[in-house]
Amino acid sequence: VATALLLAGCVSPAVNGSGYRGKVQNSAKKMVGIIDSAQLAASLDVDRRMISQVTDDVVSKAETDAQSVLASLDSVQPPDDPAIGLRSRADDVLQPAASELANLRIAVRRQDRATMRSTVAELGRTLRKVQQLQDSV
Amino acid sequence: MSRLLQMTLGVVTAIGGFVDIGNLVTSGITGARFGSSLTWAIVLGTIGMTVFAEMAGRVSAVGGRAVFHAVRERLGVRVALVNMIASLFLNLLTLAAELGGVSLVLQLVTGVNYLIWVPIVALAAWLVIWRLPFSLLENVFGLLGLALIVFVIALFKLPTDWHALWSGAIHPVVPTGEGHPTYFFYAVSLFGACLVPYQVMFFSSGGREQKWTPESILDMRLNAIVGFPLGGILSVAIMAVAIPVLGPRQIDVSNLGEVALPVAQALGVTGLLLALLGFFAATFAAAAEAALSTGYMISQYFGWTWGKMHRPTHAPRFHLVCLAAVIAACAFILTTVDPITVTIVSVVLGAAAVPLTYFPILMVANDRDYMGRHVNKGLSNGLGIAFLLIMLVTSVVTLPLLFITKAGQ
Repeated sequence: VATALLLAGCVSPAVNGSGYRGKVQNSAKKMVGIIDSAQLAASLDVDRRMISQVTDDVVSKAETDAQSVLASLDSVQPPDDPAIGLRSRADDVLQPAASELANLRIAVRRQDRATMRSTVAELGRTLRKVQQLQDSV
Repeated sequence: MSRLLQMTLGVVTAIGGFVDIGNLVTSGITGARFGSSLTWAIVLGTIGMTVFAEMAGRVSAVGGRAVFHAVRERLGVRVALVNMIASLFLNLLTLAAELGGVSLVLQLVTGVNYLIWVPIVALAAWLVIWRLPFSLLENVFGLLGLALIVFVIALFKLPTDWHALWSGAIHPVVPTGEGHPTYFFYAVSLFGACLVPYQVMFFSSGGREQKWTPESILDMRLNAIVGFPLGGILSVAIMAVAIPVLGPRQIDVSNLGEVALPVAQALGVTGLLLALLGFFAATFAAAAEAALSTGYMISQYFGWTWGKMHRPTHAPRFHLVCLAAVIAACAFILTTVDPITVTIVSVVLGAAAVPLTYFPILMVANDRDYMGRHVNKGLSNGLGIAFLLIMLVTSVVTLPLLFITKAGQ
C-alpha cells in the first residue's frame, strides 16, 4: 500500500479537457493573488509606508511563487487541441506577469521608486488580463 | 499597590504570551481566505485554553503537580510514555516552527536569509533558557508581545465594515469558491493554534517555578481568565485586519510579511515596525517556552529535578533536554523545510493530540484527595467535559482533513 501511495504521489495524473481548464483557471486564480500581493507591497513602499526589506521579501516571494505556478502548469500535458490553444493563451498572460514581477523585484532592490511605480501600473494591466483569463475559462 | 501591579503584570504578560507563530499564520491566512467566518474557531479554542489552563494552574497551585507529573500518575508509566513521545514530537515541531518564525522576522527586518538566522536564534533561545530568570523571561517577552496591539489599532484605522465583520462572525458560512473540507481544516488549525499543549505545560510548570500556593489562585485565575481571552482578541484582530486589505485582492497569505501588510497600510512604517517587534517577541518567547516545556515534560515523567528555580548544576538533565530540543529543532529547520508549512502541520497535529494532555488534567482536577476544597465545581467540569468531547471529535477528523485538503491547499 505504501509503495502504491508513493508511486501515485510521484506520477502526475492524466487530465481530460475539463480537468485541464480547471488547472488553468486555478493557476490564473493563484497568479491573481500573487500579483496583488506584490502590487500592494510595492504601492505601500512607493507611498513610503513600508520598510524596503519587507517589500523585497514579499515581492521576491511573489516572483518565486509565480515561477512555481508556471512550472506547475507547464508540467501538465494538454490532452487535446483546444487544451493546447488554452495553454498558449495562458502562457501569453502568465509569462509576462512573472517577468514583470522580476522587474519589480529589481526595482525594489535598487529602491528605484519611479520604476516601481511604472511596474506596479504594468502589473495592474496584466492583472486584469489574468482575471479575464480566470473568468473566461 | 505592589500587589495590584504584580497582578496587572501577570495579565498583561498572559495577553502577550498567548499569541505565537501558529496564531499569527493561521489568523492571517484565514482572514484573507474566509473573512470573519472562522472567528468561532478562535473563540472556541480560547475558551478551551482558558478552562484547561485555569484547571492546570489550580492543580499546580493546590496539588503541587505540574501537567506531566499528573499524566504519569493518572495514566500509568506505559501509557504516559506513549503520551510523552507524542507530546515530544509535537513540542519539537512547534519549537522548530517558532525558531523558523523568529528567523523569518529577522529576515524581514534585515534582508538576510532566514537560514543564516536559524542557528543564531537557536543559540539565543538556549542562552535565554540557561541564563535568564523565569520571571524576567515571562515578563519581558510578554510585554514586548503586546506590540501586537497595533493590529487592533489598525482595525480601527482601516475601512473596516463592522456590520459585515460581526455578521460574518455570528452567521458563519463557507465563502464561495472554498470547499467545506478546507473550511474545516482551517477551523481545526485555528482551534489547534489556541490549544497548543506546550502552553498549558509551560503555564502549570511555571506555577511550580513561581512557587504558587492556594493563595496564588486569584492571580493565576486572572492570568488565565482575563489574559488569555484578551490574547484571543489579538488573534481575532490579526484575522480581521486581513479582511478589508487582503481578502478583496484574493491574496493567499504564505509569509509573515503578508500578515503585516494591513498594518503597514493602516499605520505606515511605525505600525509595521511595532508589528514586527510583536512578531519577534511572540515567536521568540514561544520558542523558549516550547523548549522549556520539553525539558519540563521529560523531567517530570522520569522524576528528575527540573526547573529554572534550580541552578543548572542541580538540574543538569533538565537543562540537557532543553538544549537537545533546541539543537534538534534547529537542525530540522536547517533542512530548508518551509517554516510556515511546519507551523500549519504543527498546529493541526497539535489539535489531534490535545486530548492526551488535557484529559489527565481534568482527572486530577476532580480528585478531592489532591485538590481538597479547590476540586472542580460543576461549571469547570461541564466546560471541561464539553471541550474534551470537542477535542476528541477534532482529533478524529484532523488527519483525514489534512490529507483530503493537502494541508489546506
